[in-house]
Amino acid sequence: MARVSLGLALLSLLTTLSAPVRGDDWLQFRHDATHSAVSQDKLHFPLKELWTWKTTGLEKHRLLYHSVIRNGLVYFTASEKSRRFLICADAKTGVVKWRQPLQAERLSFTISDIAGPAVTEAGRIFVYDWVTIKDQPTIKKLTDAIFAQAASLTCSMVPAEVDCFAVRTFDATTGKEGPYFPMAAMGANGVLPRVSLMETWAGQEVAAVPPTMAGCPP
Amino acid sequence: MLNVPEYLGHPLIVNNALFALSASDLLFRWEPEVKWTMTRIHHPLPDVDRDISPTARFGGYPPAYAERGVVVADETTNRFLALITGQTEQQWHRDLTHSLGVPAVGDRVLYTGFGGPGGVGGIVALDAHDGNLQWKYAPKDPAPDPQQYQQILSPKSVEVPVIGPSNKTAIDPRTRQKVSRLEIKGYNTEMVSVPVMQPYSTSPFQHWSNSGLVVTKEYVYGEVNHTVVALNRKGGTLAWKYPIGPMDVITSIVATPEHLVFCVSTPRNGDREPVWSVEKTRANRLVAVDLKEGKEVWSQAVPRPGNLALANGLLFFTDGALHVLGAAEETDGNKEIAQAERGRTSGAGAGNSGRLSGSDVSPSPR
Repeated sequence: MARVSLGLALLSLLTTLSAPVRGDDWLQFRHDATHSAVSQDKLHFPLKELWTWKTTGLEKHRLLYHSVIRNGLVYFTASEKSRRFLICADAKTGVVKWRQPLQAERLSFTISDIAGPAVTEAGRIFVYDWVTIKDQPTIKKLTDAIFAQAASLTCSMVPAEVDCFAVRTFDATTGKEGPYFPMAAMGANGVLPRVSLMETWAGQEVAAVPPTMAGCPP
Repeated sequence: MLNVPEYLGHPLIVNNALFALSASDLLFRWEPEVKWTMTRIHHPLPDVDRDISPTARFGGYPPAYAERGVVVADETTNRFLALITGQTEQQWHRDLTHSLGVPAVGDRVLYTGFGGPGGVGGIVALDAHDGNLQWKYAPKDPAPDPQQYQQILSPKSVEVPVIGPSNKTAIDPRTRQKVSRLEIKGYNTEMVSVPVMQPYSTSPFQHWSNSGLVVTKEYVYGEVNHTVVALNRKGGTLAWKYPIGPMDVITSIVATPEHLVFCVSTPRNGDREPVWSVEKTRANRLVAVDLKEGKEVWSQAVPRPGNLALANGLLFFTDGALHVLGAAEETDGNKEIAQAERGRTSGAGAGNSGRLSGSDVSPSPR
C-alpha cells in the first residue's frame, strides 16, 4: 500500500515537473468576469518597451485602448489606411499571426469603438463591427417592426440591404470567422421582454413591451 | 440602405457566453449556437405612469459577473445598481444618488467606486446576494451628483377606435330622411409619443473615466480623491495610501501577485476625461508599487494616458496605440514563461505569420 502511494506521489511530481509553465491570460476587460484586474504572472522591474503598434483611423482618431491576451497571443483592433482589422500577434515580439478585415472603419458610439475584442478560454473571439443583411424576409420583418412603432416615419418600399451593428466571432487560433449576431434581430423579433425595477423584491415577472427604437448613443 | 444602430459597451465573457449593456436600456446575452436574449431594463420614476416612464441609459456600463447574476447600473438617469439573474429577473436593486465607477466582485461581495467625477469619491462594498451595504470608504463623503430634468418623448401604446359605416340607419330630424350611421368597428393599437420629464446627470457616465478596482484575496485597491488606497476587504479599513498629486488622476489600475501597476495622468485643464477623448495632458507616467506597503518600485514617463493589461510577464499599455513592455533583463521567472510560450505557440498559425507591410511594429525600445 505504501509502495503504491509512493508511486502515485512520484508520478504526480513528475507530471508537475514536466508540465509547461503557463502564463496567466487576460481574456477580457479587467482580466476576468469579476473584473479583478489581477494577473497571476509577475512583472520584473525595470520594464522596457519590447514593441509597439501605432494606429490612427481614417478620421485621424485613435481607437486602440484595449487588448486581450490568450496563450501568448495578443488580440486587438487597429486601422490601416481605410480599413480596420482584428489582429492577432505574438505577445512577446509583435509578429502578426493573422488578421481579419472588419467592415466598419469606425463605430460611432465610442465605447463600442474602443471596447476591443474579448476571448473565451476555449478560444472564441468576440468583436464589435457592422454587417450587411441582404436576406429579404429578415429585412421585411425588421422594417415592419421599426416602422410600426415610429408613427413619424413612413416606409414605402423595403430596402435591398440593411446595415447593422453586430457582434462577430473568430477562432483565436486560425482567425476563421464564426457565427455573428446582427443587432437588427432586436427589431425583427418584435417584442422584447422588459424587467422593471420597481421595488427591491425578487422574482420580477418579465413583461413584454414594444421594442426600443434603435437605441442611439447618448 | 437602412442603418440600424444599437451600440454595446465592454463585453463580459462568462464561460462561452457574451453579456453586454447597450448605450440605451438593453442587456444582451449571446451564447453562439445555443441561445440569445435581449432584455430591456426599466427603472420607473415614482409618480409617473409606468408605461411611459423613461427607460434606462446604460451608456455601455461594463457589467460584472457575480455568483447569482450580472451586475448592471444606470448612473445617469433614474439611477440604480442591480443584480439581474440569468432568468432575466432582478435579484435586487438599489436606488442611487451618485455616479459609479467600474464594478468588481470578489467572494460574493460587489465593490464599486462612487461619487463625483470618475466615480472616485469613495469605494463601497455590497453583499452581491442581497445588495446590502457591507462598508463604505469615503473620507470626504461625496455629495449626491447633481441632475437636471430634461423633456423626452416616451412611446405609449394607445387604443385608437376604428370608425366605419353601420348596417343600421337613422332618421335626420331636420330632413326626415334616412341617413347612414357610423359606428366603432374595433380598436387598433398605435404608438404615440408622450412628453415626460427625465432626470439626467449634469455629468453623465462617469464610469467612462473610472480606473477600475483591483480585488485580491485580502484587499481591494482603487483610486479615491487623488490617492491610490489599499482597503481591507473585511471592513474597508485603510491599509495604506499612495498620494498622486492634487491634479492627477488614475486612468487604469492592475495588479500582479506582488505589485500594483497604474497609469497616472495630469490633465492640462484639470478635468477628468475618458482616455480616448483626452487631447492634452501635462504629464503621464506608469507607476508600480508593492502591494504590501504601497512603496514605489518603478516609474516611467509615457506620452499619453491609457489602459493596462497584464499577461505572461508582460505589461500591455494601450493609449491609442499598443505598447508592450517586458523585463529589461531576462530573469529566471520570465525565461520560464517565455519557454512555455514558445512551446505553445510554435506551429499555431506559423505559415501565416509575418509583420504587416508598412505597419508601425517597432521592436526597439522607446
